[in-house]
Amino acid sequence: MSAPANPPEPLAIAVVDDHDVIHTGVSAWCAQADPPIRVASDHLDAESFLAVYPKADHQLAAVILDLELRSRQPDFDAVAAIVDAGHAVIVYSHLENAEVILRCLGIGVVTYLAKSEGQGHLIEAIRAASTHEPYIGPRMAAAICSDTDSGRPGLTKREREVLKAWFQTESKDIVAKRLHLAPTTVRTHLQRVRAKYAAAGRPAVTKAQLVARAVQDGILSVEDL
Amino acid sequence: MFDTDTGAARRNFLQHAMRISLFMRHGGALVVYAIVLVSAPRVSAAGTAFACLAGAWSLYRLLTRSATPRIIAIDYAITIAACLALPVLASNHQVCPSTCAPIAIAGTAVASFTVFEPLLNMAMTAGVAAALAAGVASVDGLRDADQWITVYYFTLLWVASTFIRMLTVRVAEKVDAARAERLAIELRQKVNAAVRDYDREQMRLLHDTVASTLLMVGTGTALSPDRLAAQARRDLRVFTETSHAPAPPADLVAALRDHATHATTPVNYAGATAMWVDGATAATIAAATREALTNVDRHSGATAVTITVQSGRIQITDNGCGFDRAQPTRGHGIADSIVARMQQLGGVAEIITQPGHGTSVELLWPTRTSANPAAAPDPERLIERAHMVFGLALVAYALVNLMVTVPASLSFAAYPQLQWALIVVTTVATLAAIPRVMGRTNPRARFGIVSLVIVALVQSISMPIYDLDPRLQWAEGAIGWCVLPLLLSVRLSYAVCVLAWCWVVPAIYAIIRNPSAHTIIDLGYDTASVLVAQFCALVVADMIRQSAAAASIETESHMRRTAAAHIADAVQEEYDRRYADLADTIQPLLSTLADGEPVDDETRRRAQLEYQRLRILFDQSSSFEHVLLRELRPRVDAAQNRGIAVSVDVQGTLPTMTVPTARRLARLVDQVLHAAASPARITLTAETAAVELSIMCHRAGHTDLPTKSSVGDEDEFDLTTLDDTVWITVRHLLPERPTEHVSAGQPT
Repeated sequence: MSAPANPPEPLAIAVVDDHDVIHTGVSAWCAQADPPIRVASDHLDAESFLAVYPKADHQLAAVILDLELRSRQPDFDAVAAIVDAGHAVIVYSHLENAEVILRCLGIGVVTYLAKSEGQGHLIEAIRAASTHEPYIGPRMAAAICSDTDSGRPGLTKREREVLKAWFQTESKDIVAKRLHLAPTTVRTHLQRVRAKYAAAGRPAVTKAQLVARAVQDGILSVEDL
Repeated sequence: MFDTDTGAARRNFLQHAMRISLFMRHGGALVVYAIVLVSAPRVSAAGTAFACLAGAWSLYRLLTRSATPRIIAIDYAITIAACLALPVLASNHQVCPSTCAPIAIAGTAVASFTVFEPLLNMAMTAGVAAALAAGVASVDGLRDADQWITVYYFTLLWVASTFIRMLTVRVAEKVDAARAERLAIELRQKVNAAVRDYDREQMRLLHDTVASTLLMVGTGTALSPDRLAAQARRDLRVFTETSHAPAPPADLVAALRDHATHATTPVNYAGATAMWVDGATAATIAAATREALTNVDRHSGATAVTITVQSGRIQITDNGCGFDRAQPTRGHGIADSIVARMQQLGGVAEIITQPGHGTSVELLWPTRTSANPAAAPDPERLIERAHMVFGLALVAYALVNLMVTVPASLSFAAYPQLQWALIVVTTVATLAAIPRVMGRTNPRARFGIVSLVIVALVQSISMPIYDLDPRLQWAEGAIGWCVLPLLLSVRLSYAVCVLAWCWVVPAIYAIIRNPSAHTIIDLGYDTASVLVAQFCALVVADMIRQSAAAASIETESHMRRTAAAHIADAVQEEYDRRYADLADTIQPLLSTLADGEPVDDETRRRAQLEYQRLRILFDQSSSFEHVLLRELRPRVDAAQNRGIAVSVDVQGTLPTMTVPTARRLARLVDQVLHAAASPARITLTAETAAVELSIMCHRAGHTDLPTKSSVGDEDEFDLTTLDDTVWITVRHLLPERPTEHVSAGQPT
C-alpha cells in the first residue's frame, strides 16, 4: 500500500512592506515562479506580522521585509524583533549602501536584497532560505567585500574575487568563465562566504545560522545541503 | 561669483568714530563757552550772547548726536564764526591771552574733523586755521608769541588723529576684504550643501514613490489596473507637488488666515499681526492650525474661536462644548495632524479642555534665538588689529608730545636732574604699554600707571610758585597722554579715574599756589583741549569693539539674505538641470498609467528606461562631483537616448584622478556602450591607487569591442564573452602610486 504521490506543498512566505505595490509585485513574481511560491500573509508593519507569527513557524520559508516601514528611516528595531522571533528574514529594500546592508547582516538577516536586484534574486533567495542554504545577492556581495570591520571573517583572495565579480555581473555563469571555475563552484564560494559571515556575526540562534556554522566548521559540505 | 563685500567694518567704524568726533568737538566747545560765561563780567555783552547761543547749540548737538551733512555744515560755520568773533568779543587780557578760547575751540574742532575723508579733513582744517588767523590778526595778537603756545599741541593732535584714522580705516578695509573672501567660500559651501540636501530629499521622494512603481511596471509584475492607476496618480501628485525651491520666509499670520478660510466658525485674531518665520515652519504650523479649526467646526459647536499668535506659540481657543480627553474617540486628527506636525518642528501641541468649558489648543515651537553680539565671531581679528594700530599710534603720539613739551620746561625748571629723572620714568612707563598693546599680558599695566600717577604728583610739587606757566607744567599736558595707552586694556571707570587724577593733581597744585581767576580760567581752557581729547581717545578702544560687533551682525544678516537668494537660484538651476528632463518624460508615462490603460510592451520598455534613469540619479547622487562620473554622464545619457538602459554603481570612494585619465576611461565605456544592446551595467570599484571599471552588457550583432585598455599601458584588461553577454574589466593604476620597483633592485 503506497500513499498517492501528493504534489509537494508550495513554499510559503510572508511579506512585510508598507507599499501596496510591493505586495502585489512580490505575489506576482512568486506566482510565476516554477514551482510557485505562496504568499501566506501580507502585512503593512512589523507589529501586525509579529501579532500573527510571534514565533518561528515552520510553515513560513521566509519573511520578506522592507526596511523603511512608515518612515524614511531604516527601522532596524523591527528587523531585530522579527529576527529574534526566529524567522528567516530576507530584507528587501530600496537602500543599497554597504553600512545598512552590513548592519542588517549583523542583526542576523539571512539575505539582503536591493529592490533594484529584481525577480530572479528574490526567488532564488526564498528557495535558499527554505533549505537553510546561504544566499548572497550582488549588492550584499559588494557590502561584504568592502567590510573592513576587524571582527569580520578573513575571506580568501579567491572569495573576494568571486564576490566582486558577482557584484559586477550578477551572472554566475560569466563569473565562472572569467575565473575558470564551474558555475557550481562559484555558488559554493558565495555560500561559504555567507556561512563564514553569519558565523562571525552572531551566535547561531537560528537554524540557518547553525547550518552556516556547520558549513564553516567543515561538519557539512555545502554540496550536502 | 558672490557679492559678499559689504564694507561693513569700514562703514561701522566710521559711523562710530563720527559719534566720538562729535563728543570731542562739542564737549570741548561746551567747556570753553562755559568758561567764557563764567568770566562774563569781564567780556562784552555780544561775546556773552555768542557764547550762550553757541554753547546751547553744542549742548543740543551732544543730546541729539545727529550726523547729517547739513548739521555738520552748521557745526563748521559756528566753529569758523567762533574763530573770527571770539578774539574780539570775548577776550580779556587781564585773565588770559585773547587767543585761548578760539584756539581751544578751533583745536578740538580740527581734531574732530579728522574723522572725514583726508581731503575734506584738510580743507576744513585749512579753513579753520585761516579763520583763526584772521580773528587773531583783528586784535593784533599775531606777534605775541605767548598766545601761540598751544597751537603746536593741536597741530600734533591733528596729525596724530589723521594718522590714526588712516591706519584704522585701512585695517577695517583689509578686514572687509578678507571677510568678503571668507564669506564667499562659506557661501559656496552653504549653497553646495543646500543643493545636496535638496537632492537627497528629492531622491528619497522619487525612490519611495515613482521608482518603485516604474520598477514594478518595468519588470512586468502583474498588477491590477486599478491599483496601478491609483499608485500612478499618487506618484504623479508627489512628483508635481515636489517643491523645487526652499520655501522663502513667510508671514505666519497671513498663512493662518489663508488656511482658516474654510472654517465656518467665526475666527478672531489676537496678538501679533504679522510674524515672519521660515516657509516650511509656517506651512507646517498653518496646517496644524487648520486641523484644529476643522475640529472646532466639526465637534465643538462653538460660536467663536480666537487665534492668538505670539513668538513661538499659537493658541486656538473656542467657546464650544469641550470634550473629555480620557475618551479615546477623537484621537486621530489630533495625534497625527496636530501633535505629529508640531513634533516635526521640534515643538509640542497641548490641548486643554474639559466638557462644557471650551477647548484651547496650544502649539509651541522652538524659535531660533539670535546670536549674542558680544560673542560674535571675529576670525579676521578686526578688534585685535584695530586695537593694536590705535595703541601703537597713541604710544608714538604720547612720546612725540612729551619730546615737544619737555625741552621748553627744562631750561627754566627747578631741579633739572629731577626733571630728567621724571622724563626718563615717563618714557619707560609709556614704552611699557607696547607689549600690552601687542597682545601680551606682561608687564602689568598697573606698574606703569602707578609710576605715571606719581610722576604727575612729583612734577607738580617740584614747580616753584612763580614758575606756574603752562610751558613748565609739562606733566599737565603730557602725562595724561602717556598714561592713555596703558589704560586701553583696563576697565573704563578705572581708566577715567586715572586720567582725571593725572589731570586734577597738577590743577589742584596750580590753584593752591595761585588761586587767581587767571589760573582757573587757564585750567578751564586746558581741560577743554586736553582732558576732553583724552577721554575721547579712551573711548575709541571701546568704540572699536562696538563697531566690530555691529559690523559682524550686519555682515551676518547680509550673508543670510545673500545665501537665501543664491540657494534658491542654485536649487532652481539644479532642478532644471537634473529633474526637469526627468519630469518631462516620467510625467507622461505616469499619466498613461494613471489613466488605467493596460500595460503593453512599449509602456514596460519605457518604464524600464525611466527606472534606469532614476537609478543613475540615485547612484550619482552619492559621488556626484567626481570627475569620472562627470565625464561618464553625457555618454551614459547618450546611450539611454539610444534606448539602452544603463546602471552605474560606484563602490567605495573614488580616488582623485586627472581629467584626461577620466576622459580616457569614459571613452572606453562609450566604445562598449556603442556595441551594446540593452541593458548595460557599469561598476566602478575604488582602490587606493587604482580604479577598476567593469562593464557588463549584451552585445548587439557583431559590433567591435575593445581588445585592450586604451587608458594606460600597465592596465589589467579582461574581456569575457558568454553567448551574447560581454564583460569587460579594466583595472587602471593611477600614477600617484610611488614607483617602488625602480629603487628596489639597486644597492644603496
